Amino acid sequence: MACNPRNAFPGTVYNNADRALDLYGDNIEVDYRGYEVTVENFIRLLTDRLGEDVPRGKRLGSDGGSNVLVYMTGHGGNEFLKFQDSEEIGSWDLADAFEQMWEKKRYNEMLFMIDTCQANTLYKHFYSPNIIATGSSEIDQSSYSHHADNDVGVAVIDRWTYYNLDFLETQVTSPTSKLTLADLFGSYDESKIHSNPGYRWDLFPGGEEKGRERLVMDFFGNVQGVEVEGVGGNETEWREDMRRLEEIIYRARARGNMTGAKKSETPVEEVIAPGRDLGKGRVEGAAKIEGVEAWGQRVLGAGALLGCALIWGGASWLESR
Amino acid sequence: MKHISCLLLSLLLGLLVSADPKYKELLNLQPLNPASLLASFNFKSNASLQSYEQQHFKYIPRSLGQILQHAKTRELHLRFSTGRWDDESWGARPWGGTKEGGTGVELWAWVEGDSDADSFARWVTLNNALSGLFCASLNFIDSTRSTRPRMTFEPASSVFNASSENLYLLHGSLPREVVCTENLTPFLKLLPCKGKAGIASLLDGHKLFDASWQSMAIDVRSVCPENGSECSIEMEQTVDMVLDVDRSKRPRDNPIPRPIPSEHLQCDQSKPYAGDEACYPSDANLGQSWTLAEIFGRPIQGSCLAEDSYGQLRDSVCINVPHEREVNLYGDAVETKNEAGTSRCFAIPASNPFELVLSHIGPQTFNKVSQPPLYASRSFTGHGQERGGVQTLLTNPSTSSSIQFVYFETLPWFMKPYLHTLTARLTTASTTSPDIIEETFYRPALDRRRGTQLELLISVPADSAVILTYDFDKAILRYTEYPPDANRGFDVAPAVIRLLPSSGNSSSNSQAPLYIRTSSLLLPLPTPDFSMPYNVIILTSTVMALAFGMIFNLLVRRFVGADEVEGWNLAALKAKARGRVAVLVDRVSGKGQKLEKTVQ
Amino acid sequence: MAQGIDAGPEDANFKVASSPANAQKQPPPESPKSIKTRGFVILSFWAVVLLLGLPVWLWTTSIHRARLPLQHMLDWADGKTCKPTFPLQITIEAPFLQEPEAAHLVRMTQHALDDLNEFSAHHLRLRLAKSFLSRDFQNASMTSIEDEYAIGPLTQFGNTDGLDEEALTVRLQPQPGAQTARAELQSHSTRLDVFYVSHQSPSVSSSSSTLATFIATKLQELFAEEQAIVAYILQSAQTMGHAPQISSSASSASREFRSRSHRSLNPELAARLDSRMTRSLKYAPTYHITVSLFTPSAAPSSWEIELALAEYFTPLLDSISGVSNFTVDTQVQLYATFSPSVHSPEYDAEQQIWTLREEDLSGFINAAEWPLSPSIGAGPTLNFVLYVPDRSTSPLVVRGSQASSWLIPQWGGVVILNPQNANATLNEATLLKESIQPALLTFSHQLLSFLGAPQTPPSLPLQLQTLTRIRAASLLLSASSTMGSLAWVTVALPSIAIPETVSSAVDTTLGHLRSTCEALKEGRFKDALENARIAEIQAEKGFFEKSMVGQVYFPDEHKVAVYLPLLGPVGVPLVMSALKELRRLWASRKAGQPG
Repeated sequence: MACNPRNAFPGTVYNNADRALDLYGDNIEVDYRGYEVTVENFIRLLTDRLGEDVPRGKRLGSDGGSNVLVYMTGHGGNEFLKFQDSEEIGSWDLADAFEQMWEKKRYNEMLFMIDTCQANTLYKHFYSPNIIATGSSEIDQSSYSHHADNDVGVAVIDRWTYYNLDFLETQVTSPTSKLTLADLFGSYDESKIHSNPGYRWDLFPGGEEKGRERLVMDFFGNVQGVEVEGVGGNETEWREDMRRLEEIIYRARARGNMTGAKKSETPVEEVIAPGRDLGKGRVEGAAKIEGVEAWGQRVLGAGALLGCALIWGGASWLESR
Repeated sequence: MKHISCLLLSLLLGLLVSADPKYKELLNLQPLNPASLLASFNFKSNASLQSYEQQHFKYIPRSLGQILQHAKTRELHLRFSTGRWDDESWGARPWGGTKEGGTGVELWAWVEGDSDADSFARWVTLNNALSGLFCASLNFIDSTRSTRPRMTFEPASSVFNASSENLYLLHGSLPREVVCTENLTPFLKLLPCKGKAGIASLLDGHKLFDASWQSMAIDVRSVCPENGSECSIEMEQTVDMVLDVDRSKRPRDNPIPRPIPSEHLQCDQSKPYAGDEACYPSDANLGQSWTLAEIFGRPIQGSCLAEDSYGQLRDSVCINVPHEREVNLYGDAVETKNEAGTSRCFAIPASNPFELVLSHIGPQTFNKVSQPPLYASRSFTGHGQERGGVQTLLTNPSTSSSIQFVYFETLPWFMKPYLHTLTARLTTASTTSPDIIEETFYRPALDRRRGTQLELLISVPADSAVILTYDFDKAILRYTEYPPDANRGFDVAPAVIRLLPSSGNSSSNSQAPLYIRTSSLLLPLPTPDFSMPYNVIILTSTVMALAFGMIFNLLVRRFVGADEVEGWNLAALKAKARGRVAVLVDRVSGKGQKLEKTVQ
Repeated sequence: MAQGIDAGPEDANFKVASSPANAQKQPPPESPKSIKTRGFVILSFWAVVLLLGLPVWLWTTSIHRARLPLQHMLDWADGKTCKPTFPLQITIEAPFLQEPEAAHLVRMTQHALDDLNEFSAHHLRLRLAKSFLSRDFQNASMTSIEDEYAIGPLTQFGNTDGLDEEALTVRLQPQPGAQTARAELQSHSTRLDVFYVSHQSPSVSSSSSTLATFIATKLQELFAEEQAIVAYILQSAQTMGHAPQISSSASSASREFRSRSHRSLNPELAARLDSRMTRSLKYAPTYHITVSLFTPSAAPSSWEIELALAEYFTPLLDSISGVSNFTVDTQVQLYATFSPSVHSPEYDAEQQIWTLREEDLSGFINAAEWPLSPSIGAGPTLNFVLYVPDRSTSPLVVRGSQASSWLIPQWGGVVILNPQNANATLNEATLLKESIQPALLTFSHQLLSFLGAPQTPPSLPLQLQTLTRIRAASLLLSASSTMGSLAWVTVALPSIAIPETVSSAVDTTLGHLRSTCEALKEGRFKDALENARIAEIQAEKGFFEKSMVGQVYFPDEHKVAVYLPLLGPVGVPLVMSALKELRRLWASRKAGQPG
């Protein structure tokens, strides 16, 4: 909501009153915004139970090889987090959604981070494997905001989020960074955060030991492995493959020329037959209103009323006899 | 032989095609008054219909092209707008209002389909796909917000005939949608130069969404030249913004105006109270001079594909100020001035940054803003939580000719108008004039299924104003139908007014369509207190329990005379209680004795 | 009240205390009719509560859960129902041998094959060509046969009516001059030519033959990679399944399964297969291919892609259209910059080239700015990116290997197109089709590996056949595992609604899984793929049913808090009156019994 008229800095979201870093940036894209942000949509997104029309951009699109990061922040309490003003998502809801994701192999590893009051209660009920969870504060603890910007008129960022962002901005400098979750979690300073961050390792295979070795960029980066071709000894083999492929294509083309004439007879697009009776289609448009009709309608209405009165009168007269 | 002729033909075609520019862009700067500047960006891309249908995309972006093909949409108009166009001080709208949308998001398209239901299904597909592309909640355009206008829109494509080709026009709008940077990002990505080069490099969300009024438009249509050569598909992207010059010049990290120290304050000496004690701040310096970098945050980064097929540079920037006004340039550019003396254009070479300075030296003159053909303003009347009314004032400023137009309104289903209260009268007359509304198209609303659609053909005589009014009821919504946040009410989409070319008048622009949109309305509905649903549960339950208890007791209890019943004798009650206690004590002690006995 | 006093305790104190009240007027005794009426009133209230209220409450609060064949679904997931086998039919043509000799040779080769094969699920079956007897076949000229095959198998590949599909034809031909036998595989047909030395042809009586062994080894070699892949797929499906979560019987089943497919893969091969499998896309009936030209400046702004595609790319797509369909679209993107986090190319003065660090290749595609969104419509999208570097930074290659192309698993491939020499082929504004050709060739190669086609044997029709089998197997397994997931989710989440559509989708899936399994057993692989495809689609549809979203969790104490304000005040009088009435009935019965 960077363009809310009440924002004195249109198109801008700052993490700090010094306004050095514009979080909204110049080429941001947002998939769900405004009233689309609901608990139901969030769970649908996670479990991919979306309508067929929903475009790819609004789907998670992850598979058994994906690492998923879920970062949530907002107002919350014991085992819940508020969405908008009227609903909340509970720990059980999240746990069940993650379980369905795991069942359908929609993630490989997941890092769940939450910044809200009593945040650590929110991952209490998770039961699916390969999840590392962390939260900003323990039960009965508040999660405080970092500071306020007087020109904006509100607190700009939460403490835990602030120090997470600070770590990512200053320490993780390139997509090839080798920093681990141990480094990230080690950077939390309880005296600065003013609450006790919590961690949950037991769902992760290998427990805390293995979990701490995971790279931060495994979750925060969009790192795809690549395979460079024609590397090393099998370059000649590769060339040979290419040559063979070329030959195959050449042959296929020769054949295509022969069968080409046959193919072109079947049209790909279905052509709508001309001369269809268009009158049949019921048009759900607006109907034209004719002023003249109004008198007729009034007469009709009055007539109906009069008729009813007559019937009633007649019936009561008959009864009274 | 055949091959050679084919080759020749394709070469010829290629030549023909390349002579026609596949991509054009133009920035038109027009100072409206000292304090505000209208910047109109226009980007036009072309592709042959054949390559578009075979999915070979070049300047028509693939992402949008595929959506249109998937949803079988032949013509698309999409608008993102914020703010209100100030008719009084800014005059007529740019592009005759054709590139403008109502506040929020507006979309209309011609969709192929075998039937109404078919076209509607494709429309939903289109909205969903566009919502993913443009990061807007376009998927909220459902059946309650979709209409099929009859008179308001005409296809801009020259190739098709809507009725004979099974094309359906659908229209939808989201008046409360916030337009922001995430909508601009995909918009820029559709351009061939991605906002990296050319005039699009000036488009920055921070400035665009700080404007007093802005409208982003995308129009896709197909064009077949009259000479029978190859049909092409044309996409036009337009951004219009009215910038407050002073506001735009403020630094980005500190945009809040601070009080100027009194020693730097310039006073308006023309005020009667001007003196040592009183100072009225002078606006003499407002928007006097500016540079592109001051207003847009950066200079233009060269040009984008500005060379035509002969290697000539096309104009990319025009500024509409009288010739006597001094305009300075930094960077190589070729300047051409028009003959009327009102504007000059610049052709910018590909790679150099270009900077333009509207100097404060010389006469401070501006081109006069043109008068809009019609003033329209719409507002709510009435009070209370149940009933309301809408009143629209339509003023024809022309002193000589009458004006005829289509007035198109879509109302949400929870606003239930009474058509019999629809009246139009001249402001000078006290009674209704029956000949003002010439035709009416109306589709009544169905609760939670569709909204009201109202299209009126209205004519206003010269130099007069018409007041259009009707009454409506406010519906009570279900708990979940209210917005889930602290909101200010429900938005009602702006009315669209299409001015029809007057037959008798032979003015030059009578053929081009002209559009005007009113501002959107804010409808407050009766709102329950959402903060304490549990209180509601308890209260309702209590009422129900009371009712039940009364009926139940009436049926089950036996009624006897008052004297036949033992009164509330306090002593008797006390004795009764004491007796009970004694019995209990007896029992307990008796048990104890028994226990003792067994132990012994 | 009065009744209460009448039925009051028989306490002496109380009687004494209430004795002054005895002087009071007593209400007239109630008529039996009114007592009866009261009973009826209470009964009818209870009847309304029990017969109307309770069902309505149950009906409005219950979640519709269609019945699913849970046990069947789990069985499929555990691989208990179907053990896929892959019998391959191989025809041997020996036009220059006598029938008994040929039959004997076939028998011996089959023996040799069976000895060689360690993986029982995938085996080769030989058979003698039926046309063997027709003499005119023998006389047919070599060229005409070749032509027939050149067109035949590829175009016929689409039809499924043949009950037993022929995987390979082995054609035996005597070769007079040679010393040893040799085999030649036609790269564009499913024919293996074996040229044997005439004296190798076995006599009917001999029990071993070098020719038979030779053929058997050759065949085994041809299908070695396929066997390895099939074994790998079957194994990984079992290890990746969630068998241990559900029951111990499932894990024992998987153990049994693994012991059956005892051919354990050596780790090196497994790693290679692993990387290939992660690279290849999931099977889909339709793939979208996007070929994009990216350039960091304004040139080249056009390319002869339509011609180039028609010439160098579409023929390949046509030949593999039997497995999947393809749509191709292209785009040109100018001013494509690298993402800011990637190191810009560095100049290597020694070799006069610009180099990219290999670790930066993963960030080469600027996902935030380059418009490479997936295509609209069902099916995954493969992106092939042709990057033309700026004149100032070319030639651009990957440091170390000097390669100019790479592929990104499951996403697509990238080729950097450096101008061959500074001014000849690369026109400033337009890329000619000749200069795109090498890139398209690379893309074709990448496409095959994305589809999961094996690298051997070097014959496209054979590779496609292999692809059919591999895809059928993996679809069968993935649909089965989806069934298992669905069953597990159904059991684990009792609050989730299960509409009838899910149940029907499950039924369809199970039906098609069964037919897939049968088709595999009978060697009808096209059929199997077709069935597996439907099963997979239905299984996904069932699992991702839109209405299967669980209710937001509502704790029980909250439910009590919501119901109590109504049920408390209403329930208490109802229950009390019912108790009173029951006590009265009991008392009257007791009183009535002695009498």
